[in-house]
Amino acid sequence: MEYPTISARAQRFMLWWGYAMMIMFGLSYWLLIRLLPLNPATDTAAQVAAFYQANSLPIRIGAVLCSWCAAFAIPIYVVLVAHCVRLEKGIPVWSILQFGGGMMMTIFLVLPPLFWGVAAFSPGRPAEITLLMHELGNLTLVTTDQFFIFNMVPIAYLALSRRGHALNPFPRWYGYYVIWTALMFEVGAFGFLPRTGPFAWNGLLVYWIPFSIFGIWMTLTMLVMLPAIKRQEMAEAAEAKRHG
Amino acid sequence: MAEPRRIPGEAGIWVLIGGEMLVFSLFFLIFAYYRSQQPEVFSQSHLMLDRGIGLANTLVLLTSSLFVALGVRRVREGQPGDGTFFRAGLACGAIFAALKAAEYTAKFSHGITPLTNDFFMYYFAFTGIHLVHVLIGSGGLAYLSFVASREPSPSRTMLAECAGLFWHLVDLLWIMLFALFYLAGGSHG
Amino acid sequence: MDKGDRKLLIWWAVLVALTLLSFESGLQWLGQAGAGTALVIVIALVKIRTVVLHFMDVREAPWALRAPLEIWVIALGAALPTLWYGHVG
Repeated sequence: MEYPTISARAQRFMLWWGYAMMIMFGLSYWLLIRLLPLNPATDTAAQVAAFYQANSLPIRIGAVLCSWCAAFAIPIYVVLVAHCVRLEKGIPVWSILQFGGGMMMTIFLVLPPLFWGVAAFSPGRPAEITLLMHELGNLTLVTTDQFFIFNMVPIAYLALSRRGHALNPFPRWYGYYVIWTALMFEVGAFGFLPRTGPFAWNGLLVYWIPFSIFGIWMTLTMLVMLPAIKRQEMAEAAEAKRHG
Repeated sequence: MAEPRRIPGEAGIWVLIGGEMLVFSLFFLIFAYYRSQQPEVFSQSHLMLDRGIGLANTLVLLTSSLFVALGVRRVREGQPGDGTFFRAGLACGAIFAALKAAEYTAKFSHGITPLTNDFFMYYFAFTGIHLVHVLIGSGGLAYLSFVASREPSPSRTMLAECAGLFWHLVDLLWIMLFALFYLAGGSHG
Repeated sequence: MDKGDRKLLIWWAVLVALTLLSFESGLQWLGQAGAGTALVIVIALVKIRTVVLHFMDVREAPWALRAPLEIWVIALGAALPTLWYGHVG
């Protein structure tokens, strides 16, 4: 049986590439853009403008760094899809859906630093215009639930339905964890409604929980994929030995 | 009881169930905390909920849980079962969703929205998220009503137990939502 | 209908009875109308525990699974009334 595959070395390289860029993204967002957590949604236009005036240079440097690394998830999804296609026969529709959803989801981590960078670009402009850009950036970060479901549901489906499949890289708990992640992400869209409390854009349920769960998910993916790549490598070595 | 201990469903699904229970307990705690911050607003708003519909929905879900538990038992014992119990549970899920829709519609027609005040913000958000779980659980029951007619096998049992567990989770989360939103505070606020 | 079915039916009846008990008239019948909210929360948690043990079959589960669920119920029973009454009474 022939399975489409990419080399273990390339997969490891892509995983670490993605994670290195994710860390760079996180540090830029935290230390330079300085919106971790986001400013309260009750801030006035003058307060928001003052924030961008005071931090104009670091925010713009942060935007530069994020321009390089904000699409960090792409190589990680490539590794995932390389394993998913091995679980399907014929046209791998679930893998395609997973990959498409993952690619599109990436956009919403690319856009917020872009918008914050624009907000900081002309700190002298009228405060209301800066406020608009700030709100666009923040709400793009927390409410964008459009695509992830097409990324996560196929992963969960393949993880759980291919029970006992020798090439399934996902433990069963991982499949269930992905379902939980998908459900928790849905809450982010509520960020459009209130300005204070747990559903505000800096609140527990819209900001802290989804982003913690995302970080944990990415870490668990790493912890699941590295051994799976190892297993693939050993199986291929055994196969090569048999054929001498 | 000398029966050997066993994990209901499979170990993995308890990651999902445990995660859901943790997050919903945060919902409950958040609600109780904000209730104590704005007792007036919350007790007045709570009186505007229709306790009749809330009670009906509670009884509907409890009954659906009974149906599902009876159905899962038959699958587990290897009976060549049909999907009747799961279809009955599914019908209960549909009634629950219909009543919830009627309740939301009535609130909207009185001009009550999630932006009315914090109470209704939490009411619509938490019961809405719960309703999404009802719909997902209903999908599981619909699938089970087909699975139940398959030949008995370990995978049939595991599927039935896992979908059943998720449905019971939906039921038990509603029990606390009903208590906090509709009952607690009493009929005079 | 065998013994297992009858047990499930009895637990369902208990859950319905507890639901009705948690309305004012039920609390009054208990002579506990004054305890109000705390009692409503405790009754809800008793119902939740009943669902977990008897519908979700956790009574047959290993303690590693059962213990965290029991602790979760007890923790909510302590935390919810505390927060609820926190600034009121």
